[in-house]
Amino acid sequence: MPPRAHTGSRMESQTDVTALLQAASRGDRGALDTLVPLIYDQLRRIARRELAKERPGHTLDTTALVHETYLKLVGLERVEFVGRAQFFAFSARLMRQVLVDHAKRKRAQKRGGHRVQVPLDEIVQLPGTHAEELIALDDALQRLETHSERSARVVECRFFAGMSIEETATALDVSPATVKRDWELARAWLNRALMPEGDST
Amino acid sequence: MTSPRWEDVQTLFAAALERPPAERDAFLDAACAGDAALRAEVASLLAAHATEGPVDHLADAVIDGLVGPLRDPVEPGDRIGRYRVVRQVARGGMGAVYLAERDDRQFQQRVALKFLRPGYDHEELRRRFATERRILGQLTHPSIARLLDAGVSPRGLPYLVMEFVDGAPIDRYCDEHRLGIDERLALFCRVSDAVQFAHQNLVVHRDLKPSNILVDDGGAVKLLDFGIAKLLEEEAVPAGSRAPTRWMTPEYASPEQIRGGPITTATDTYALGILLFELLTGRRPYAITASSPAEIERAVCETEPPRPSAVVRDPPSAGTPTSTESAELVSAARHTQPERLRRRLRGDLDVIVLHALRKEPGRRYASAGELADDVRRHLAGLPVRAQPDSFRYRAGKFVRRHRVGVGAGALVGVSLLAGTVATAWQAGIAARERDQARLEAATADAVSTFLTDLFAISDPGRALGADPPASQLLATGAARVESELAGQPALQGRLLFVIGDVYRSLGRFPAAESLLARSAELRRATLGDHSPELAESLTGLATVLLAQQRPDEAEPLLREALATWEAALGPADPKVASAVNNLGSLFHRRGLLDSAAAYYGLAVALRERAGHDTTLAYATDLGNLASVLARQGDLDGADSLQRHVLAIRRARQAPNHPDVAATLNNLAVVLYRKEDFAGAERMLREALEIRRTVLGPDHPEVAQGLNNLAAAVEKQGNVAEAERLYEESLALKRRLVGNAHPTVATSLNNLGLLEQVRGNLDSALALFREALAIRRAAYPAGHPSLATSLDNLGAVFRARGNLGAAEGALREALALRRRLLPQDHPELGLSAATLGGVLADQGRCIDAEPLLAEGLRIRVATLPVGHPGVAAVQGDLGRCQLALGREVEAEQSLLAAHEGMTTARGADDSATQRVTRQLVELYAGRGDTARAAAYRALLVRGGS
Repeated sequence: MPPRAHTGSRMESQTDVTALLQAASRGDRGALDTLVPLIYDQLRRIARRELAKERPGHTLDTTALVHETYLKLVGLERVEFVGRAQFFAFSARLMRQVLVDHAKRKRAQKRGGHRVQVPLDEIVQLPGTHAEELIALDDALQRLETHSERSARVVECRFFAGMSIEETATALDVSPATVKRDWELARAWLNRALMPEGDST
Repeated sequence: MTSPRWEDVQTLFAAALERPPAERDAFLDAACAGDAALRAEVASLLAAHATEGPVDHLADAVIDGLVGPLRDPVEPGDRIGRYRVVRQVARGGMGAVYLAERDDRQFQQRVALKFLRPGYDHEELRRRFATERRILGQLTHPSIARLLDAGVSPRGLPYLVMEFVDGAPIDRYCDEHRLGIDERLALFCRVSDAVQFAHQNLVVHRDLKPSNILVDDGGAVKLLDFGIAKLLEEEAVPAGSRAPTRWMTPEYASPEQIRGGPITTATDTYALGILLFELLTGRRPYAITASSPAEIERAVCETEPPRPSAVVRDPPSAGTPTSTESAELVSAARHTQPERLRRRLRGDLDVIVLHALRKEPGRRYASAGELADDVRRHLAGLPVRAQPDSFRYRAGKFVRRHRVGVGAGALVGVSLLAGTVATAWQAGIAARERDQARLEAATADAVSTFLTDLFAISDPGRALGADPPASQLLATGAARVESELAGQPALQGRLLFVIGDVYRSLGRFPAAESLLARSAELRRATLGDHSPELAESLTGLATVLLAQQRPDEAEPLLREALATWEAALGPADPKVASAVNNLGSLFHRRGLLDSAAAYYGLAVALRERAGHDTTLAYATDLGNLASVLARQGDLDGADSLQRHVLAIRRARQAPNHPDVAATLNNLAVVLYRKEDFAGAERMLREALEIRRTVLGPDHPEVAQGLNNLAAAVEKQGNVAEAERLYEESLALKRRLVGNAHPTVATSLNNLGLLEQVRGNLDSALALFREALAIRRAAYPAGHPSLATSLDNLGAVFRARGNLGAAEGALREALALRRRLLPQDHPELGLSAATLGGVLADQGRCIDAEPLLAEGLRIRVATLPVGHPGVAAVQGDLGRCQLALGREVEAEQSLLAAHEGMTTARGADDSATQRVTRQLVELYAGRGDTARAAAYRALLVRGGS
């Protein structure tokens, strides 16, 4: 048996993440719960680095941010096993999960207890009002899903992963025209659902 | 009406979008062909499509919310209100700070823009700023940076505008300029003066810390952020349903901030205390590493801060370091060396800092000004006003109450020490230099240490939760020591001491006694009469004798041990304090409370003088003193001492150490006496759990725990469970210590009380009788426990109508209490009132009246208003006064009794009825027929 050099923890953890992602894409809620904090941490780390080298006036390329997050987590060579297109669609869904979970935690946290001061870079906050809206959006998306699952996937890709029409089309394996049609209707439908006076179905 | 199909909606929606808006209506009319629902749905979605909605804003906001706080709030060159941003100067917990310039050409002003972390309610913040700014605007002091303005940036981030200060945080400034202690103190005084100025203007800072206290190159001090913490603090939700969010920095937060108590000027005094600690030592008093609120609370609210002089050392003692700097570096930054720095801090500065850091706000310096005054007094060589938080304070209340007793007792203790020191030092020197035997002990030292350690592991106090021992191992060990080490008596003496002591800690007293006696004998034979080792064996033996209620045999051993240690080791040695404490324990067991308190107090004082006031031994002595205080009725004093003991133990011992359990038990006893039964029960359950786990189910302390738990449970009304626990405790005690031990009497007594409450007077009588018999045999005449038994017995006799027997018991009890207790003690009041009642029952009103009056006076002073115990005595007293023809006084007493009893027991209760009848009699006799009739109407049928 050859010596097992350098099969260290990093490789192992990447394998774990791949397995978790695969389990989560099959609907395993436990795997998802394990992934969310991992992804969130990674996302913040990359975002901070990107912001540090950013020039004034630039905005962050969120698509790149999300992609890099998953590449970091899974390891470049592993992506092949999962299937790139499918993977990116799934990553958008995970992103939704991450952000909504975070918003819910934030809301729960607002409900009390002492606040102990922590250094600035230890926490990232969603402004409270947006947290509420985000949760409302998530609810509306679940209702949209009952009408058209594909539309919901499109929204996830566009909204939560910042993907373009073309990227979304590749990820969901449909034509760009379909994505465009789905997106326009879904956007109108969601805006109506989220309007203060909006009457949704 | 069914919802339109999604596919239809989508097709029509897409098709309509491809047409110009003007044509869409007509298109829909045609395409929907009368399907009104479909048409309405598509039209509504088209309308939504035409406007921007939440989804469009949210996309940016979500990403921005995610990464926005990582981004700088502004860039150099940005204009914010009237100010232009120059550069970032700091970032920290609150947010980022920028240097900015006001550039409206009229005048140049440099300001600091402080951006707050997102998440604050802008409107609320503005509103509060508007109310606070008037106050803060008046805060004009050369050492306080002014708050000028507040606003919200274009990106929606709230900010504050403050006077810009170009300086270094005070701690860094002091180190960089290598300021000596005097210079640091002078600078600190200027800081305190500024805080004092704010306090006079009713502004509390709430977040004082080095980064808020800047010193410029010219040495001028500026305090930042005055009042900001309050500005940021969220409004408290009414009705106390939720604690307000507090803005604080854990390292500098006071206990009241952590716990959500009221914030006062003393809160700033506390933070100044931490600052002073840090400026003097380079360290902070507590290691706050955890961010869990519970752990922070424990560190800040329960840990006693070390003395500043004690933390200047390498390696820093556990729990204190906040800096990794060596003592050498810390001292160098103060122009001195570690030993000189320690000496400089010892005394005044230790006292001043600890006074500022007291847990209770009311016991700190009341203001920053008082703190500065004391520092200046110290600098001027005057005596400081702060007093060490010592025995003197803690027992102060007790001393004031019992001035005579303590004075005499303490005198005995002091003169005893002085005497033995003078005579015994010489003996110490002589003893040190002789003895072949000691050589033998030295050569065998390695073996001895090994075996000592081996056996010591069996002490459950050390081997927590481990399977307790190995009685087998101990027995064989002892036998082998006797046989195999026969040629090495010194080593034998040492090992037998260890084994005996383990037996003692296991509660196996007879075995312990014989081994310890043998150890003392061997050591005396080999090491002579004056060796510390002999004193150790004698003390162990005395402890076992005391545990078996044989104080007369123990006393000479303890006195010999004290004299020996003092002679051999000097009065500052911890063993001397231990010996003094042991003597206190002896008097405690004999019931001589004043003497016990004096000895315990002396032991405490000796340790404080030696700087050993955070040690476990100190905790033990203090706990003992607390027990005596409790016994003497000073429950608040006892409570505070016991909590201090618990804090020391929790800081130093494993969470399930038996000593922690013992302290919990003792504190519970105090709470019980303060009638906080639920609190007592909580502590007792925790203690019992620890004891069962660590000591095993068959241990005297488990039996004690069961008994106490039963009492707390009973007081809360659960009589059945209480009885079960008492029985369990009693059975365990009988098994462990036999039927004659006083602890058995305690359980019997408690069971008797329970039966009495249930009305089972015969069983109660039998139980009290057995308890009294045990106590009479075990205690010397005059012991307080006898009085308890006698009182209980007397009460049962009275309830059974056996007034003669009741009087006998109660008279003896009262005589005992008069001898033992201060004249306003509640138990004395109880005894007097009960005896008075019995005499009144017998119609002996002349004898009864003064006792009832005395009892009433004490009860009124010591019982809460409306306590039924007061009304009962008033009733008896009124009856006597009436019988003695003192109508006016009788009327007063009876009316008061009637009111109290009606409230507490109801108008129909038999005792109330008796008072009602007395009132009828009184008014009828006086010819006041209206009142007589009114009270007669309250009598239940059959009463006359």
